[in-house]
Amino acid sequence: MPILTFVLRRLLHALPLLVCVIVFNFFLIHLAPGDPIQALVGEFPAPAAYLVEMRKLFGLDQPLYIQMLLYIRNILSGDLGFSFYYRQPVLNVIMDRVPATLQLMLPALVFSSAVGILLGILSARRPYSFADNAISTLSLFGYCVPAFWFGQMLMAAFAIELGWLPSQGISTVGVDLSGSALVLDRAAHLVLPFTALAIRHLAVNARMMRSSMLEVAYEDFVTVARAKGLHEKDVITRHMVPNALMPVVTIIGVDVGFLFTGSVLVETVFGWPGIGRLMYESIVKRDYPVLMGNFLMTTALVVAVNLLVDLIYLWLDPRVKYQK
Amino acid sequence: MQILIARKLPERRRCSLLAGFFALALALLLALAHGDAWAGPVEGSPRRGGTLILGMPADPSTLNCGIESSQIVAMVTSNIYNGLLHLDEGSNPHPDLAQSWDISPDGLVYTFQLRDNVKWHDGQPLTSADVKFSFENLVGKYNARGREAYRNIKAIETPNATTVKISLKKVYSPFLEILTAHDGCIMPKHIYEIGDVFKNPRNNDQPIGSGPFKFKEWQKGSHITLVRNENYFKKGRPFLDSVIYRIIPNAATRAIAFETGEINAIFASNSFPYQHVDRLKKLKNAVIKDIGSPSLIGVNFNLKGNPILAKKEVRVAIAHAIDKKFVVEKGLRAVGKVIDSVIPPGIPWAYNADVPKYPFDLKKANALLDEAGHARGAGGTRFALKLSFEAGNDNAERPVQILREQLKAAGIDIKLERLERSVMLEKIFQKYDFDLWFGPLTTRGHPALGTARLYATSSITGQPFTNFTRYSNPKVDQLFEQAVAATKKADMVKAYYEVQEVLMRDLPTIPVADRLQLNIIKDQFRGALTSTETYERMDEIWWVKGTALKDGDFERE
Repeated sequence: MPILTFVLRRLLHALPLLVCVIVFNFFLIHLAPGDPIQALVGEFPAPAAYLVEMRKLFGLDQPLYIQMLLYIRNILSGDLGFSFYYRQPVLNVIMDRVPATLQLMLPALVFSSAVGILLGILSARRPYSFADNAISTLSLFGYCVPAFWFGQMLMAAFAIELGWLPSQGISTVGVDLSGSALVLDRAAHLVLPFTALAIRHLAVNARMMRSSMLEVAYEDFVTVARAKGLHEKDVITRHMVPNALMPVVTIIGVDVGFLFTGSVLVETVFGWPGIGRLMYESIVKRDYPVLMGNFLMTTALVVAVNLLVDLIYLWLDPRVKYQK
Repeated sequence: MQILIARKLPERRRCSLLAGFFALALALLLALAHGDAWAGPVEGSPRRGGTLILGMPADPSTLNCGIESSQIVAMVTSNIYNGLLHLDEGSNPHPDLAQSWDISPDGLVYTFQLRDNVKWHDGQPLTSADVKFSFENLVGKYNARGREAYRNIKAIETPNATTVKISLKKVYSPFLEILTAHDGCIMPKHIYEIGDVFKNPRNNDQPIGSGPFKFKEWQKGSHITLVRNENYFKKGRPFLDSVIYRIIPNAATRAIAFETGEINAIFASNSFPYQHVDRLKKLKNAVIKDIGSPSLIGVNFNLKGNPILAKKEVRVAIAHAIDKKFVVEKGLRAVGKVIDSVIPPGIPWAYNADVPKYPFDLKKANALLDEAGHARGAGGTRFALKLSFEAGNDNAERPVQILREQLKAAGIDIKLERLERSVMLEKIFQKYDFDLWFGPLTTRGHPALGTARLYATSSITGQPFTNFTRYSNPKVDQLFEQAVAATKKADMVKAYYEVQEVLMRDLPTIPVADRLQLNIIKDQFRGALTSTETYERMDEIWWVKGTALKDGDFERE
């Protein structure tokens, strides 16, 4: 089982990485100015004794290295800590938000990857043709346009002017929906944030796929394939695409991490109750445990996705072999 | 009873008693008439039914109002829980859980008579034991805003299930101010007496209150739904079937959601999208109104940290260099009123209009600065100052740009310092690392709560929003103490009038504006926007398309 050994070894390597990330993030967060207890107290002054009590309650009165050791000990026993702001276990706070993020991120990821790759292939077939120029221009736009601005423009057009779609949220509140009505309602709420989120990744994937395709187009094996008299369709699908996909798969792997946490702006503009917004809010509130929990989960996710990407290489490229 | 006594009395006495009786009736009538002017009696002929969807900028941290008193928490919890009383716009108390109360002549003992028909949402009766427990173990212990006042409680006695007797250590005139659902919410003893209050599952899930609405669900980051409490102790209330708080973090999106009808109302200063006020004002079918607690927006000086600003002439010169009217009109989009005192006119009984004023007069400003020994140097600059403010705060972002230009005309070079909130709290209020700070300070309904914390020497504590100018004047300290210890309102008012005169002479702060607190609601809802904190009184709001109610079907107040 060489693959299994490979996976286990990679997971083992990930452990010290995770510990480093925890330690690094811990000090990074605590280096930033701002005090969680003051952020908690809000607009009105609280007596000093109250602040001392709160600090003690959250363990903030301990020296920083002790706080960190305690934190690592808790994590090893599966406890991500207790949120200052929400006054709930961090795991609950994060898990409350994960479904919404997945609901937005997975369609965006699948769509932007699939369509992006397709568009890339399409424009690479005849470089500098009308189709290529059109796709290139559009993907340049998609890459450059800020998601929050684009989101607001979408909202102005489709929610206010045309009134076709809801402007924000994940579902209509105040009505009990079920069955197809529920699915339709969710889908209608998804369209605008999905578009705002997917467009950038779609553009990146299309650009990447295009240049990658053009690179392999002059490789010997492509010339050989053509010389063999293969149909152009087969040359593209069987020889060029699998080779051109390699860098794009890497990019998509990186995107997962970004999509998981990087949709802060889109989630904020569209009031989407996901992880990105939680992360932003916990920075503002200096809710260290939630922030750390978020970082940790994202790190774990990136490690896992990288592993997955490596496995996909194995499948895509027969030359890649994972030896002991 | 009156007549019975009268019969035994001689004619003359009877007459005077009758007169007294009439006087009493007249006083009662007047009191009622006064009540009419207040929010209490519900507006028009209410109807039953409907759902109000409210836009809100963030999730509350918890639904336990015993441990948290921020506005965002109170917006929800004040409708699930009750306080002993309500306050109207003039900060006058009105019954809530307490149907009447009595203050001893020495101002030290407060006796409250509770309603006897109050039940928690789980069916248990609400009694004086719950009130005692809440003050001793929850709000009295953890509420940051009311803590100082609650610490002044000497003892709480509960002679029977509906009587609560609170004795204070010393006279504290604004005591009734903290007994609303916002700062003094009464929580169920039987739920909270067991275990760690911070980890009680009822904090976020299925809180048990006594209020007009019951908790239904909270989908984090999306919405919170409350539904009508059918067994509410006020007959016929609430009128709405449900209230939904929709969480929309982005102000622009909040405005859009209101336009598209996805939400029906935006209440409270933390929620209103001020950048879009001009557009919202043009909407038909919507009512926009200024209600809410008064605030002090102004330029605050670091009196101890900067030798230039320690000179009173310089502060006076800066005051003359500022065109407040322009700042309010352009900077605050006219959503505010120019003010000249640190106690804003929003607290009408304490506001002193006759304080030393510093009208816009650039010539005078320049002359004063020249006199103070700060002649213009190269490029016409006298000296440089840092003007700090909170990033993203709509009360500050635009006004500071204008202030910079206005002060430049007086030869003062202003460097703007934009600080993220948590950084600001530390830098300005804990480390006093600033020259000028511009921004809003809530004054609430009483100077003892909102003004003393900014200027009393004992408030130089390094806590956010305390005396961060480090102003210290024994005369002012003494006046603040006098006001709080006053048992007669006239004495209290006199002390506050004098405080304002002294403060405006010493000028630790240049008051610029009292921010209007805008609220907006679709006009198919009525009864809202009547009291200062309308978001705490959802039981007054009704929907025009609901089913009609007869007059005896509901409690008016």
